[in-house]
Amino acid sequence: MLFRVLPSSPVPLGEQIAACVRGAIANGTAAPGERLPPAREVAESLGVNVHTVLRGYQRLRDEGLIELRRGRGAVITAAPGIADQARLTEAVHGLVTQAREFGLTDQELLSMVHDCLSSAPVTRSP
Amino acid sequence: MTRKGVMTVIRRCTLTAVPFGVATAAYVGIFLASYDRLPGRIATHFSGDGGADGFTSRTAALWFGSGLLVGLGLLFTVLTLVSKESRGARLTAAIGAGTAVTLGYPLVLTVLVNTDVQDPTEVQLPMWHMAVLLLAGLATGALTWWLTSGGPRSASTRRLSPALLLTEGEAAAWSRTIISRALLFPASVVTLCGLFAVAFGPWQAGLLPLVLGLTCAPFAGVRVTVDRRGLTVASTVLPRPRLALPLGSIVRASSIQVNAMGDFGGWGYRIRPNRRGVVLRSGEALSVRTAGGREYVVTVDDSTTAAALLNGLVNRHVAGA
Repeated sequence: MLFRVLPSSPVPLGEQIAACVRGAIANGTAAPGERLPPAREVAESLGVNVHTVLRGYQRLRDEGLIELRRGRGAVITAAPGIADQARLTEAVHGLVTQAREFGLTDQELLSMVHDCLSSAPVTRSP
Repeated sequence: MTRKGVMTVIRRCTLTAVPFGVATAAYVGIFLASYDRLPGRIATHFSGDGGADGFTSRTAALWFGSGLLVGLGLLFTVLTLVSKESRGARLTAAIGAGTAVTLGYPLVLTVLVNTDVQDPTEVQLPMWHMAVLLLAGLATGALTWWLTSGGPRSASTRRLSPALLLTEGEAAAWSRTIISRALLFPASVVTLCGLFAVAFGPWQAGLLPLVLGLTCAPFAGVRVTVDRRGLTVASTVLPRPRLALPLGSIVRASSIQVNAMGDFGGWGYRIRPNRRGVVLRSGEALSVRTAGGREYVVTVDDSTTAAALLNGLVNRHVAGA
């Protein structure tokens, strides 16, 4: 697992750490069931606060990409299609970043996505 | 493997097998030829002054001696065979041939000193034979080393890892855990055996396996970390002992393929001339060259990423210093 963070970036460090793990799951570098290094060690390695790393891990848990268990640490969810889910989440993050750069309000972005959804044909997997 | 490589392997295996074959043939041949002239129980163990102090029946001695030679002969030949063309094979072949002589000599000698003896307690085996057998063993080992040429160097599997470009102020770290089931399983079994012996048998019998198992088990899981401090290899459960190479001492890193048996003669923390290895399996490994000219090898997956990051960190460290 490769972590790269830029403290001078406007993106919060916790989000940057989450993005590293999300990217590794998306491109298959990190396999389902793999254990992430303990937050304390990542914090020491990167020279950041433990709570910052934990915030990143909690973010990933909220997205359903990892499981946080007491005593077992952080483990990548062993569900089928976890890599696809990570790629989709990545795309959504990219979309939000782009919208912010354009100066779109949240409401404008949401209505754009909503319009797109209502016009796109629904295909159900067999 | 090339045709020349196959020839090297065959040559090394032959040089390992032949001394054991000769030793076995000599021992069994001499034993059977003088079988009727040997006493029923022959002297097989001798004290420091050369007097006999241990006795075994003729048949048991013959089976034990030939079994030992054939067993070790097979073991060393197989070890040389699986080492293939790697560097360690030459040493395995040399140690094997030396062992054949060091064991064959006293076994044959035991038969000779027992021949035509009525009372086995009067048999003498002077201590100077010890010096002879050790020297003969060393000489045979050295001869085998000389005869088994280095062989063609196998095609280099070293993958050059370009340095990862790190921007100023960027913090980067790589971490990966490797768990060796091949080590975890026997360590657990030995620990359980020790516990069982302590609980139900004489506790002294269980102490050694318990200590051995508990010492090995923590090192079945190893975490490899590359960060601003350099390379750290530590057990996943114990903070120490650990292998730490500070960034300043590292020259370059690369990803290589290793053969545990062939390159390091086994698994665990391996010490070789100018080479140290944390070897939990064969295959992909991170290789780090230090300023002292020593190479450290750690078997770990995704080692190309680790090497690239380490090279990037070293470059930035050198540029910043």
